[in-house]
Amino acid sequence: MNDVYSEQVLMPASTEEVSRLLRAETAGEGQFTTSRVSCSGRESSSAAVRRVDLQKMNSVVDYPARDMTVTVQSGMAVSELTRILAEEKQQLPIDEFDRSISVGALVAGDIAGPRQYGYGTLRDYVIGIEAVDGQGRIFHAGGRVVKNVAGYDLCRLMVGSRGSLGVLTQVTFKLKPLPEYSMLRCFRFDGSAAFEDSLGRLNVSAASPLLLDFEFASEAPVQPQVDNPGTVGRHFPHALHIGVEGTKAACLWQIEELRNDCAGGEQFDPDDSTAAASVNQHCHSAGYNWQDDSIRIRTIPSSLVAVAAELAATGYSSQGHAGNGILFVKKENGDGRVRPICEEIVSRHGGSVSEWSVDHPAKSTDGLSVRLRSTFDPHSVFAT
Amino acid sequence: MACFVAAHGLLDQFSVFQSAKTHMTSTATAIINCVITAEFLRELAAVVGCARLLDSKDELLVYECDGYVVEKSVPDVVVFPENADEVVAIVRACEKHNVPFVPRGAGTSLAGGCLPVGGGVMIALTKMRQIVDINLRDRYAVVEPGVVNVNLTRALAGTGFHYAPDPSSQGACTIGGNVATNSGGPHTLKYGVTVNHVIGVEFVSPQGELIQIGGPCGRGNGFDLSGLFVGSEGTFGVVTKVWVRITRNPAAYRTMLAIFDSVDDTTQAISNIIGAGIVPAALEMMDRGIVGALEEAFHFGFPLDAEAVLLIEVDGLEVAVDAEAETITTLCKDSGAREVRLSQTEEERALLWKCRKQAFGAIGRLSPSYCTQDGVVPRTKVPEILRFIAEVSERHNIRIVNVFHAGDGNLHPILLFDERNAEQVKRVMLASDEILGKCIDLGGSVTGEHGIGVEKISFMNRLFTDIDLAVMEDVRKAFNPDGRCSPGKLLPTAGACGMEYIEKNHPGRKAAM
Amino acid sequence: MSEAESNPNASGIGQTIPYERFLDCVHCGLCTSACPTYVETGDENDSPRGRIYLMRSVVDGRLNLTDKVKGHLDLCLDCRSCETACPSGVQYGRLIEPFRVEMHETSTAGSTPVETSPPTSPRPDWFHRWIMYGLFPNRARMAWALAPARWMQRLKLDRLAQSAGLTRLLPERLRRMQEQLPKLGKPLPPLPEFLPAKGKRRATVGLFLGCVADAMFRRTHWATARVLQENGCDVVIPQAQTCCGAIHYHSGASKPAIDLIRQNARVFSDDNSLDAIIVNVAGCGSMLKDYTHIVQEIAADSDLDPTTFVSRVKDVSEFLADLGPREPMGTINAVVAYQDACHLQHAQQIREQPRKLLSMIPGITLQSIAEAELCCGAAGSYNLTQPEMADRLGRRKVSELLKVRPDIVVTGNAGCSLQLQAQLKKAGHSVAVLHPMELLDLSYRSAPLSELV
Repeated sequence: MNDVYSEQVLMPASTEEVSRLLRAETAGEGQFTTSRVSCSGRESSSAAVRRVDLQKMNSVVDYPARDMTVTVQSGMAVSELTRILAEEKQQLPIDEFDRSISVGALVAGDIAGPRQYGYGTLRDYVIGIEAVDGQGRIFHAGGRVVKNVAGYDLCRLMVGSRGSLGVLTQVTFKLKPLPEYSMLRCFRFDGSAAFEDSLGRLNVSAASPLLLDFEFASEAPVQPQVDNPGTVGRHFPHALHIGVEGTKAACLWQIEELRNDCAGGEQFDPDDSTAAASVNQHCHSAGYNWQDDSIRIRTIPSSLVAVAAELAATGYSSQGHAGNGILFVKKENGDGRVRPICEEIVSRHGGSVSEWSVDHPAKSTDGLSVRLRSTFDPHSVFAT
Repeated sequence: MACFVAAHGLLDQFSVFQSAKTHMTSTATAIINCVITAEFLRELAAVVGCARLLDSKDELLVYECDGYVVEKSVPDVVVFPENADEVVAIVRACEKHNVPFVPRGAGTSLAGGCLPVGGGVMIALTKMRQIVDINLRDRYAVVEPGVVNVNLTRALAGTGFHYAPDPSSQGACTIGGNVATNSGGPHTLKYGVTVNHVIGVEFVSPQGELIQIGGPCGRGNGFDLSGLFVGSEGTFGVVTKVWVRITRNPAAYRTMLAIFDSVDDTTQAISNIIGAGIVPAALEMMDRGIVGALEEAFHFGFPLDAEAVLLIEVDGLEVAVDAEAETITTLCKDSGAREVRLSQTEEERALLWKCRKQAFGAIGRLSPSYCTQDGVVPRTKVPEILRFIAEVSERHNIRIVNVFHAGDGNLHPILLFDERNAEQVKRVMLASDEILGKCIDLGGSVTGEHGIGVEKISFMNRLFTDIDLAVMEDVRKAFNPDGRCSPGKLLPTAGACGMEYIEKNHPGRKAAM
Repeated sequence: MSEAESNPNASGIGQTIPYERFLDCVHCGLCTSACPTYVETGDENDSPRGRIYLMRSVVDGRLNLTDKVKGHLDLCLDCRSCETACPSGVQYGRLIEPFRVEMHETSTAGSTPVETSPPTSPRPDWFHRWIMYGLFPNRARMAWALAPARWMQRLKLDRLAQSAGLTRLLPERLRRMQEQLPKLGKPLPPLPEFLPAKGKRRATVGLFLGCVADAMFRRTHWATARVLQENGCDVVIPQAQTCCGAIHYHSGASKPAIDLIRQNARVFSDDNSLDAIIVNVAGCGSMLKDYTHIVQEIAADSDLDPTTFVSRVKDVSEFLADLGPREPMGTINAVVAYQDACHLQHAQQIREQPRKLLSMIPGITLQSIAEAELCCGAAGSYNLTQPEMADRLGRRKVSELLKVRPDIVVTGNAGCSLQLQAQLKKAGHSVAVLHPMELLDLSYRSAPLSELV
């Protein structure tokens, strides 16, 4: 992170200015990044890489609350967006861990947390974009209406492209109402069979959980136990956090259902009075932050317990989003063994392994991705 | 414009009946000189056999158009591959002989998505209709492109899951076609459109490579290419397999019919429901004209003196739906609803939905010809666009009735006329153009679910800047460099001025929406 | 392509069909997946939308009526499934039927015979004509024709002949007919002129017998009559009634068709006391209900007006459901798969009534099957003219039926019954195929199921 101080920070105040910056650069040999977190895998971390910081572009372009859409400049902090939406009892149901992150970074990083089980991810919420490509071309896709099939869906392409295809300057989101009430429950399991059975039942539960997170601890850890939100005792190796929302009556009814689904586990609950707060707290807990020093595994939900169990057997604890088949494994500094182990396990169950700081969509080597990259950034002005 | 030319004699005017098998296809980037040689035909026959290849004029004619019949073009050959390998071989043969090709499912596109512009090979995917896998535990299914939308939900009957996107043509349209057009439907208000349910696509690129993007575990570390692929209207390649999400069935639903004495009150109610933070599973509006026709067709018991009705469905937990239904009832009544009826039986609900989904068929009772539009406006602009439509109707003296997805602002105004009256036809064209133009002015779009196809290509310049279109063109080239795959679709050719369709088109009738 | 240069549609085929009927089709394609032949071939030419396009193109002079075109039109089962699916109310039957009538009239009058290899159009040859004009219209002759088969079956000679491969020596279509023959059993006496109501009389009805049905399914007729009597109906059975004429009409033989229509309309109208004319065969029922349209179409200048007759025609399940059936008491413990006959569910839009009647019977578990809207491939004489497609659809139907593990398959049409029985037999299953009235009659009489299977 030392190079942060050596990089040059540019603060354009308009899309046109972003365009001018990039247009000027296409002739030169420097590179831009919009990311504040540099990639360790990057070869040149020299001063030639300049950071485009859009913090001056942080206003609401249009918020017709009754349309349940909002258009904002991408430099706006997500916490600010959340506050503005909450005034209208609305939300963008995407969980971020770093509250100071900008809207642009959220979209470019395709950040997603626990509630992706119930709400989906950014690809389900971004309905319009304005961006500037590597040649300084200002382009748009989508629009400001929730249903629109005109033109190619470049919104989806930009979500998660990590700034390698363009600088997002403006984003339009589809919104959801804020729930009236929410509750979080935690169940602990002794054995992985009971754990798997419960996951199977939860898949067809009469309740509709909005989050379904798990912790799976190794009994002989090669590293300290995962830093969980502090709800699970050390004596139980496996735990499930389940969140529901709706009216209070609907939440209570669902909790009853979940008890049946989790038969075989033991309920271990936070105080009811803090139930609503606890969903919020849980969704921002560091344990699910991939951008942190974690390895992320994506597999199919039915393979999750097997993958977690194999990790545990090799001494690694995991946690993540059980309903989505996502596991996170903490990577201690200097522990180079974790990734090969993860890759070996995943190779047998199917899925992918990735690290935020290493894996980047711009590194995809398939012909299509390469061609798309050179379409949007022919002069490689975007640092990856 | 969704139009149908039905008058005897007019048909010939628009038909493109090639006598010589040489066509010129112009795209923004390439002029394709397509020559169908005997050798090429032999190569195709070697792939699919003679029984799965049509090349005689009398059997090709039915493939000259889809649900959009204004423009026609007969393909030179139709082939029916049965698996991805055959598609690869067909596409490679096309590449070798520089022949354009276009995929086709059930041919229910309302925008000419299956039109073989400039002839060439039509790849009919109707024989690739296996449901390859259903995985309930992991909530996905793998289907071939020719699987009819509703057949997946039927195959899931009894499992507690369904496939959520439900276009009104779901009884016939294919999932491959849904992927191409990013299809919607009434229940997309709550559940999202096709792209929200597609997690992976296998396709044959125009160069003949078999490529998989995404899959059961989503996109992995790369770009969201399947997200980009959905809605590309066949211009990126031929879909050979799709991974779709399957959705839990709601435990309960309540279906209501709210009856209003004024259109303004109705649109106010729509706005109030959305504004109150309720996301119904469906929120559909039908105006007086439609209600009258439906009553005649289905004898549901609609009040004939009402100005508009809302069909509202909420779903979810049994414990929650009653409260939502009550809130909606109150909101409707506060907005001036005369009455809100709750469906008491499953039969009543089914009949109500049948009325809604077959609404277009009932239009025949109102008028000999009609023309259906597919505009979108921000939800809060629904009152404004409806007032504008009424004004246009009066100004051009064209009767217009409305049945549409009110919850997401997706309008389907239906313009009624008699196609034998040329002067009236002209007024319908102008009225349609004004309505779609107004949708753009109000911050909306000219298509919510039917697609651009060839029908609305001239509106692209009004929706997007030249740079936007240049970037989209570049993206197309990344997939389809020489434009041989579905030529003439989605993107306007250079030099189009945006009004030429006025001369070309002729309004008509359309049944689906 | 030799015809391509000649004057398109010189024969003027289809010109008599009101052009508005073609215009009703808005080309939306919603009918396609409802069409059994399209579902099988995936070829738009074999879909309702495609066939309408072909016919219209011939009428418009854009296409010649080539053998390929004829082949696609002949492959249509006329099951009318597309009419159920069509949101625009296209009267498909009233396009394809008259079109094919004209097509066949032209081709029989035509010149050189063509080898009937698919997909070219099969022509009515001597065999076809003998079956159609000699056998079907004559109820007595039909019974006589079946007599040897009945004897063979009773002596188990049929199975011997089949296993010895002797039946393969029969001409193809005669062999198919032999395969289609159900177990004929002991011949029952013909139904008398009159059968009185049981208990208080609620209605007087005429019973339509048909030709094939009376010869092969007299048991069903007796059962139907008893069910009607049980429900307080006097049953009148005019002895001079005749074949409904469907086969003649559909194969383009207008003259005999009109004669049969005239005769039926007359014999049933002689008695003005009839509240309804009851049909228990879906195919005949939809033909009878269509008499007025057909007369308008093929004999518009005649004095024949069957409107009154038509208004009284009711399928037996439709009639009973309206009347309010008496509760059957006898228990029949069986899993029943109900297969909708196309001419009930599509042509007459009768779906719920037979199901309702069946579920009234104590002990019966009624199972619904997938693809219930698809034709089983019987479709009248289709079975003989399009054997390959008939078999494909038959196999498809049987596989869906067997999925619900039925003890009994129930269907309300003679042709479907024959087809299902034959296809089940081919698939190695001996599930009984019965008519709803047979089960209902059994329950009213509290008789054991063994009486029927």
